[in-house]
Amino acid sequence: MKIKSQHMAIIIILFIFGSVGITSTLGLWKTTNDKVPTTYRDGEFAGQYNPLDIKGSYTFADIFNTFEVPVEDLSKAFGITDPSRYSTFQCKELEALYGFLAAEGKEVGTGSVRYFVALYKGLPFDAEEGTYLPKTAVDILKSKSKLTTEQIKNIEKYSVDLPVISSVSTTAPKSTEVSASEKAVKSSTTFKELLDWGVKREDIEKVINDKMPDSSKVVKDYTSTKGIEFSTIKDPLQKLVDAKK
Amino acid sequence: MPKTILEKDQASKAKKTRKFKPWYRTAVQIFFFMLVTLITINTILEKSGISIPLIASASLHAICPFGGVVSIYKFATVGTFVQKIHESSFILMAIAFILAIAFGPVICGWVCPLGTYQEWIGKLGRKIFRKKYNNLIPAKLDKYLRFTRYIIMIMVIYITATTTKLMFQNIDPYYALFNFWSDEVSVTALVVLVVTTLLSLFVERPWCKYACPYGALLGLSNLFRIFKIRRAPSTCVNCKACDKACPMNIPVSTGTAVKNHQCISCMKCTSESSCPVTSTVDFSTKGVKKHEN
Repeated sequence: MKIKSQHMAIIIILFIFGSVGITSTLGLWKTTNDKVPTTYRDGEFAGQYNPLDIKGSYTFADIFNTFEVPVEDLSKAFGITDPSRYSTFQCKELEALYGFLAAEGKEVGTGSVRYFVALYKGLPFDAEEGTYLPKTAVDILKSKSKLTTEQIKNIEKYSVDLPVISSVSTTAPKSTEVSASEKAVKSSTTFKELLDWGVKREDIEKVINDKMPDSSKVVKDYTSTKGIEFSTIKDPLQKLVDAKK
Repeated sequence: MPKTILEKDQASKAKKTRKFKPWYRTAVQIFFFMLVTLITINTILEKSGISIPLIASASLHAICPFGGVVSIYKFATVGTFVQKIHESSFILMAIAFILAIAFGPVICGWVCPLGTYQEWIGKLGRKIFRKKYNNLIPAKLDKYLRFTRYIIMIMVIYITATTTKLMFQNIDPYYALFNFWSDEVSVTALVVLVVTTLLSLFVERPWCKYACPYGALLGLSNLFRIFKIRRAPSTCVNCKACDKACPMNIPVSTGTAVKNHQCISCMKCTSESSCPVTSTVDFSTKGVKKHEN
């Protein structure tokens, strides 16, 4: 059998898009994380969410939704002092904020959040070499978790004292007052932000045609779980926000 | 070996009747290049609540089949993906492997936007260096350099498996090409992109030939793919047009079937494109050998 280039072109297009279409129909094709971590396969903790699967795109609210670690504890642990960022702060942002530690061979990033969550919940976890916890995180763990002497010794050894100056600079926006132009419904907007901007809960519920979920939830994540296009509710929500300006 | 009068006559006739080259591959390449560009733009726009109609939004990692390859170990041992990798990468990896078993590395030759980008830069290089283009590296050195991509492939897979981090992103010119403005792109990746771009002026597809770990993996399929580039010696006029057309410098005219690990199944050497004699160099299964003695 001989193949010509026009056949090859058709085969490639049909095979790639056909496969993507079929796997999408079957619910297998995912280009984003559904913010639900995998679970331990076996052993004492089988069935529980595995902190190893926390991704950089997870917000502290996502971690609260799955691991039930309060966003306040996570934020304090990692030096996020602005309450408006408690829910929306993404783990990967830590790598940029504390990137200066890399020069010392230390890293405070998504790996640190995984480590913190595991210790907070008493789950088994092997931290990667170079993963450090801020001193504030160590203090929270010592007061709120049941750690063994060896674990305490270990986290104290691998802890860093984050400079206050960096802590402050990481908490942008500096002002808790949000200007009118910043009140735009984006893919990262949470229900809490809508409420903070003066939109009434019942108005939001009218737009989403459902009860409003936990206010820390990101609107776009909510639409994804409900199978609704974000764009269909974005404009009506923006109108509600604009009406409050 | 001196050519016979008949061969000279056939070659001369063939030169005069050089046909229109098929544009299908170019169309597919442009299509995928544009698709990846639009998906990348859409992903950025989505953060501001805007989106391009009919175009998906996804990170570049989610639509790269190599992400699936580097995640295999972690998925098999822990059941999770390497950071930034999603189910879509695994599906694309499977698609690329199936296509490779049937046709060889068509993903490299027809789909990969970085390969397309290098070809476009190469067109400029061809105008500057003319016949010297793609023939500047001494054959003896080139022969060994072609295996460096396997060393890179082993290193990338090993380091990703042991660190569970997408370390390849730090040197990946493909990621740098479509995200050069982003602070997620490392300086090393940008340097690799610039070097690849400059080298593309002298050598066709330098990244594919010497460094691409994914090309190395898919290239192995050339040893057993079902459809191969096959040459019929009985009708071949030894004009070497197939050798000259090959972007990967494979001596197509010296064998009956191309099993070279560097072939990208671009079909530039075939009778449909460069070979002047009908049904002499084809992309076919083993059954089509009627011209051979």
